[in-house]
Parts: sequence; structure tokens; C-alpha cells
Amino acid sequence: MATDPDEADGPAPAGASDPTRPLRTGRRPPLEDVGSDPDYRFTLANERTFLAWIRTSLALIAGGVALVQFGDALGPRPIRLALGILLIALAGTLAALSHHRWAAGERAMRLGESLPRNRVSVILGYALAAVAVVVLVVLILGRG
Amino acid sequence: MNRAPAPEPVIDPGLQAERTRLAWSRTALSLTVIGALMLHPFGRQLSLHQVVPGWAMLIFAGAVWWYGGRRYRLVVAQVRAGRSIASDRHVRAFAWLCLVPALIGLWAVLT
Repeated sequence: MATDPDEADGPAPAGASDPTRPLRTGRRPPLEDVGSDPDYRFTLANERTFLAWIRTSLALIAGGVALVQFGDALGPRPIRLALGILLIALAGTLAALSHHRWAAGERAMRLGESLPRNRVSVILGYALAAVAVVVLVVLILGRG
Repeated sequence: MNRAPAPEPVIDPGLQAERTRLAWSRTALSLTVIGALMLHPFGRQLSLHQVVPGWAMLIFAGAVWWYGGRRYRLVVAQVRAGRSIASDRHVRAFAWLCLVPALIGLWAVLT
């Protein structure tokens, strides 16, 4: 549960977690030891946003699988395989970033700080635009 | 004249826990669709190594569905008791949700 650093007597033992420590340094303390509990509704809203990003990454996985297994008309298998792996790798990266964002948001709320900036949607937008251009080129070359 | 029973106190205004449970269910359904996509023959003859990733995805979808229900019950119980719903165990469980579908997807396209 939440701990108040002002209540601690004497210096903290070595390795003890410090809730006031910056978020990006060293090993992070367990979530329940950071700051104090926010309103549970905010925690659940953060969780639903994380799940929405996971579903976005699942759509990318579905696209990658469909491209490789059912996209025979799109082009030769090596190119489809490369695009499929690219989409699934993008999905994994997106899911990992969304998990990082969820955890950072949760810690920020517990510490009463501003929520971290959302860079995930920017990365997703540029990456999807790049994939769309590659698919377009493959389609045009395949019909040429 | 009968008196109406006293209303029960509202535990979860806005039904946040229920909405979150539904979000978990939608995620599990998305995983199910991908599993079904992997298992659909589409005129092909599927070999065993092509079928296994699809079944793995379906089993993972079932696990996510179960976890969503378990989390819902836990959240309602914790909110009712006025306790924290945060836990590092959930951080690890959510990390699995990120990794497993992508790994199964790679397995499916590489076999």
C-alpha cells in the first residue's frame, strides 16, 4: 500500500524503494508501493485505454497473418512474408509501448503528476503509413 | 401499506468495473477471431504445425476472458472494501497480454 516518506524514521535501508524517486531511473518499485491510490475509476479508465491499444495491435497481427496466409494474389510469398513479419513486429512494439504507457500513467496518477505524453499514436501513424506505401508498391509492381 | 426496501448503496457509480470487464471481453473476442483466422482452411489442407498456433491463440483468448472476469470480481470486492485495486501482479499479467499474441502470430506466419 502507499507509504509516506515523511513518516520514515532515520535513513532508508539500502535497496528500499523510494516513492519520490524519478520514474525513469534504475529498478522501479512495485506499483502498490508508489505514492497513494488514485480514484479507482481513473485506474480503470487507464486500463481500458491500454486494452484498446492491445486490440489495435491485434488488428495488425490479424493483418499480418491474413497477408501471409491468404494474400496469394498480392505478390510473391517472400515479399508477403516480409510484410507480415513487419506488421506483427509493429504490433508487438505497439503493445509493448502501450504497456509502458499504461504503467507510466498509473505511476504518474499515484504520484499526483501529469500524465506522460502519448507518442504511441504518432509512431503507429508513421509506421502504418510506411507499410501502406510498401503494400501499394507491391500491388503496382505485381500488376505491372 | 408496505414500505419499499431501503436502496442498496451504489458500489460502482458509472459502472466503471463493468465497462472494463467488457473491454477485456472485446479483447478476448479479438484474439478468438485471429485464432479462427489461423484455423480456417480457406481451401487449403492444414497440417498439424499450421493448426497448433491457431489453437494456442484460442486457448490464450479463453485465458484472457477468464482473467477479465476474475479481475472484475476482484475490483468490485476491493472497491466495496475500500481497498486498492493496484497490484504489481497485474503489471506482469498485462505484459503477457502484450507478448503472447505477437509471438503466436510470428509462429503462425513462419510455419
